Amino acid sequence: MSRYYFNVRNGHGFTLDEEGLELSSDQDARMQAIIGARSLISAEVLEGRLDLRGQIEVTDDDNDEVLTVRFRDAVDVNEGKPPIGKPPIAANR
Amino acid sequence: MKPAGETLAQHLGCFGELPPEDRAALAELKAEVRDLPRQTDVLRRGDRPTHVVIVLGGLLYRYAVGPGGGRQIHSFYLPTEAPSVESLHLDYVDNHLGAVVHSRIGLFPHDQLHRLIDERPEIRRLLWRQTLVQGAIFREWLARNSTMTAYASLAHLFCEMFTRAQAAGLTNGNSCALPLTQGFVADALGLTAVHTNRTLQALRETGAVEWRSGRLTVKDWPKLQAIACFHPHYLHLRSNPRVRRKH
Repeated sequence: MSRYYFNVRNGHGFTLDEEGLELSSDQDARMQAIIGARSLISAEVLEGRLDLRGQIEVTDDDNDEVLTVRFRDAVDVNEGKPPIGKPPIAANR
Repeated sequence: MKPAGETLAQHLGCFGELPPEDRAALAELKAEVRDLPRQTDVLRRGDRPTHVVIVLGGLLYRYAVGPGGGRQIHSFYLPTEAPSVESLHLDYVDNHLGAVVHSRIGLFPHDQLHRLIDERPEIRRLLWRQTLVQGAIFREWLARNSTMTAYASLAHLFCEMFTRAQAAGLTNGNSCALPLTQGFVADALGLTAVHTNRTLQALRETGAVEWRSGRLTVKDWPKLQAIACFHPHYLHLRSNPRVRRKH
């Protein structure tokens, strides 16, 4: 287990994670970052705002960057005309 | 540390008047005192308890685990509080009860409490009242999680824990121990850890509250209360100045 810190950079500025989470792998950390990004995006959407320019910067105990998840990579975004025919089946995620 | 029976008397006294002879009878209760390491459970779903738990030190929490492994925390329990009085009348436990941090608990045998309940109507009344208040807290948490923003919810949790700490005599000026991690808070509010961290930062920026290294400091109570739309009526505390006994 190692500790990962999930720092947020978005329309509200930069939020340092001072506490972090104990996780077993970088892959788990990426999943937590994706879930976290989606939760932040969804809270904003409920307030009538969608800003995909944010990102979650994951660091380790030495403050070295492990990985970054951009908000736009955490969700599938479809724009343009409404789809024709039956509604598409939601991706299983 | 105060004997467990006196602690229970103190806790019940938060909800109503306890005659001195009832207080003395509670003080004579014998409890088994046990240390509970952090993140271990004292009760698991399906258990058939023979004792009622009282918190003597640390912090306990009641929680359920969903089919996908997600955890919903239903309540936190401060020292002096009694999380499982309902086990006197229910055959088995329907949630888990565990320690957030290393804690100390007291265990009162059911038969001792049943004897007191049979002999002393005021103790019976206050134990009933205490479990009803637990229900009121669960209802408030449900409404908080489904109707409030993350920002207001977090402020509400802080308001409640501070008010309960005050009633339990655990505050030091405007601060009290709240040894939670963001993961625990997230699972109480139904948020992700990342969202909780961002929300905490936003709340901190208002200057109303600080929560750091397991300590909660209320810097501006009226402001925090306004953010949370917090009204302590559902805690039914005797010390609550806003409770008007009209009904």
